[in-house]
This record gives sequence, structure tokens and C-alpha cells, in this order.
Amino acid sequence: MGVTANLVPNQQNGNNADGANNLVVEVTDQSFNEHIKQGYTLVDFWAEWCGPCKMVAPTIHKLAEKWKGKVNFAKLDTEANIVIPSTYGIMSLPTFILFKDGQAIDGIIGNQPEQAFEQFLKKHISE
Amino acid sequence: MKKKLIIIGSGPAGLTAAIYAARASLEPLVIAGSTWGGQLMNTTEIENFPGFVEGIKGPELMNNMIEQAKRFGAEFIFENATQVIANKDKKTVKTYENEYQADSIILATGATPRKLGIPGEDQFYGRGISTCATCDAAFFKEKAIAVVGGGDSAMEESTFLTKFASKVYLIHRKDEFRASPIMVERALNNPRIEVLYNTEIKEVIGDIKVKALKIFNNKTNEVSELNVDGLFLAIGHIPVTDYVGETIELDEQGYIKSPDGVHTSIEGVFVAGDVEDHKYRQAITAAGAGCKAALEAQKWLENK
Repeated sequence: MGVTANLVPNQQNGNNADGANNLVVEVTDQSFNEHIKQGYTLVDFWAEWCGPCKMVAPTIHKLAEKWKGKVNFAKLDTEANIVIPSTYGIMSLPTFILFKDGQAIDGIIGNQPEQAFEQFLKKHISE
Repeated sequence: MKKKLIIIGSGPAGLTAAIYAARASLEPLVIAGSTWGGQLMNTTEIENFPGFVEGIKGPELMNNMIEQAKRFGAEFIFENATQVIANKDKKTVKTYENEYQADSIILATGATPRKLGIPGEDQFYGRGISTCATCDAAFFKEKAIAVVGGGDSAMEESTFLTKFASKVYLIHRKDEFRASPIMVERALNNPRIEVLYNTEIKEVIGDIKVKALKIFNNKTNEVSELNVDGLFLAIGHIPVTDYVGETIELDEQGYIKSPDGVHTSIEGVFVAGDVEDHKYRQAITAAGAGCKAALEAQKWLENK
């Protein structure tokens, strides 16, 4: 019956009761390259002031559970980190970029329904 | 399991309905959708919601409403309703994943930002074009941008964006604004805002991101290019009704049809908020409508 994930906005990036957040790793300008260099990684570019970033969080938690082992999930705070967002030309939040072995291969913008993310991932990765 | 009440949508209308229905022991199921919290999730400070002396942040207000509804036993799922099949006796709500049965339904799916429908718009969405100034303003530091619209949100967003952008062109197709005088004055007095009246955007031009707008002056018929790095859309909202199909009657403008702002064409299906409201479209009026819908649903369920 769906996800009743933590909805408290300012705890979006804290640990929550269902543990799903542990699957979404917080990365920084410094640690970014290390995290994306192997396999598939979907990076969530977000900021505290961005409502849609909070709205999409339960969807991302669901996806992280579902694609566990196939896709790594990471998130980068665009307020605290400015180098990586500008490297990848981020102009809108939330933006999600899919990396394969360190290379950006595709992106998806905005708070999309789960099905849109599923389609997006399936385009590149077999389930 | 059949529910007594399903509420579709989780903005101020849906959540107020959830609070009232939960307190009336209707154990409502809220199909919150992927855009849970509604339009206020895209805003910063709400200054006119009664009870908050210093204002409150949109997402915080919505989160409070969710917690309040949960405290009284409302249940939330974050699925998107794809179809409603309803008659007097049987009501079903389908989502991509599941199917839910209920005795009654409240439709509170609100509205989604209107688009211009011009070349380049979809291509540059997220690459300079935005419907959320709060989210994306910081990417336009010391840049020239445009805001299109003539209502309160166009004024608010233009004013907000001057905290980041060096220049904001406020583009409006008419020669006067429909926004409230206090908001217009704030925008007109801002030295970083330049208003382009009688101006329509015909095309968004760019390479990998927005570079310029092709604009048309509908008084002089002059076509020109305006160099900007961003375009923020504030041209109103359209009601979200794609899931009701033929089941529930809509009016000519695509809103859920209702004689009184609460009842719909199907008995036991109620409506609240921006999906029905042509006129006011405020958080507080949506909340009020949500309350009415819950009270009517409760009464209908008792007499059924």
C-alpha cells in the first residue's frame, strides 16, 4: 500500500524509520566522482528550498528499494555544492542525471511520477 | 478493502477534508499523488494564511496539515489516480499500481501550471524555462531573465527573482495587470524589473539552454528578440481532471462541474478546491471547500 515515508520536509535527508534513506547516499563536490565511477548511479540534484524536491523524495525511496543492486542512488545538495551542478549545467530542481561508469548518459527533470522514472531507467538498464 | 471515503489530492482542500473526515471517524484514504502538498510546495512564504503572524513556509504548512490529518487516522498513499469509475452505488479509484473501492469520493486534485504552447517551450523546460521561481532562482544569479504573466504570482515571482537576477523583464500580453494593486506596486517600484506590456512570446530560442525569446508587440506588430537566460512561467493554472474520464461532468473550461462548489454530477462524489474553483483559488478558500466537502460526504454517508 504505497510508501508512508517520512514526510517532514526538513528531515528529507536525515535517516527515516523505513531505512530507505540509507540507499540514497549524500554526495558532495569532493566525493562525487568517487561515487559515480562504477556502475549505474542516479544522482538527485536538490536543495532545501525546493518543494518539488521534497515531493519527489518518497518516489526516489521506492525506486532505490526496487532497483537495489542494479542502480546506486545518490543526492547532491546544490546549495552546499556548486562545482558539480555547474559542471553538468543544472538549471532546474530537481534534476536527476544517470551516470554509467563515471559518464553522464541521460537526465530527467522535475518531480515526475514513479512510472516516468521506471521508464527512464528501463531505457538504459534491464530489470 | 472498501473505504468509506477516498480523497484524491493532498493540497489544502484535500488535507482539510482529510482532517474533518478523520475526526468524524470516516478513516479516509488520501491518494496523495506524486505532487503531494500541491501548489504551496512551490512557494516560499505564505503571508495571508490566517493564524501565522509572521507567515509560514508553504511546504511547512502542508506538512503540518498532513501530520494533523494523520493524527486523527487519515491514511496516505503516494500513488497517482489514473481513473475514477463511479455511480451512486459503486465507486472505484484506479492508480497505476492498485485499485481502491469506496462509498464516497472527494475530488481535490487542484491545478497544474499552464504552459504557453509555443515552439521551444518543451525543449528548454528545465534548461532555462521554469514554473518554480523558488526552486530555480539561484541558478540565475546576475543574469537577465523574463517572467511571463499578469497576475499575483507573476508579480511575486518577478519581485522574488530580483534577489538573484540582475534584470527581470515582466512580459504581459495586455496593457494592464490583473494582479492586486499592492503586488503590482511592489513590482513596478523595483528598479530591476522592466515591464513589457502588450507583448507576446512567440518562440524560445537557444542551443543547449535558453538564449533569447522571440517577442511580438501586439500594438505595434513589431517582432524582436530579447536576450535572456531564463523564462519563468506564471500564466495561471489549469484544473487536473485527466483521471475522471467521462464519469464526472466537467464545465466548458475543464473544471469539475458543480452547482454549489461541493456536489458533482455523481451522488456521493464531492469536489473541493482549485479543480472546481474558477474564481478565488486561494489556499484558505480551498481549505474551506475541503471542509464543506467532508461535511457533505459525512452527511451523505449517514443517510445512504
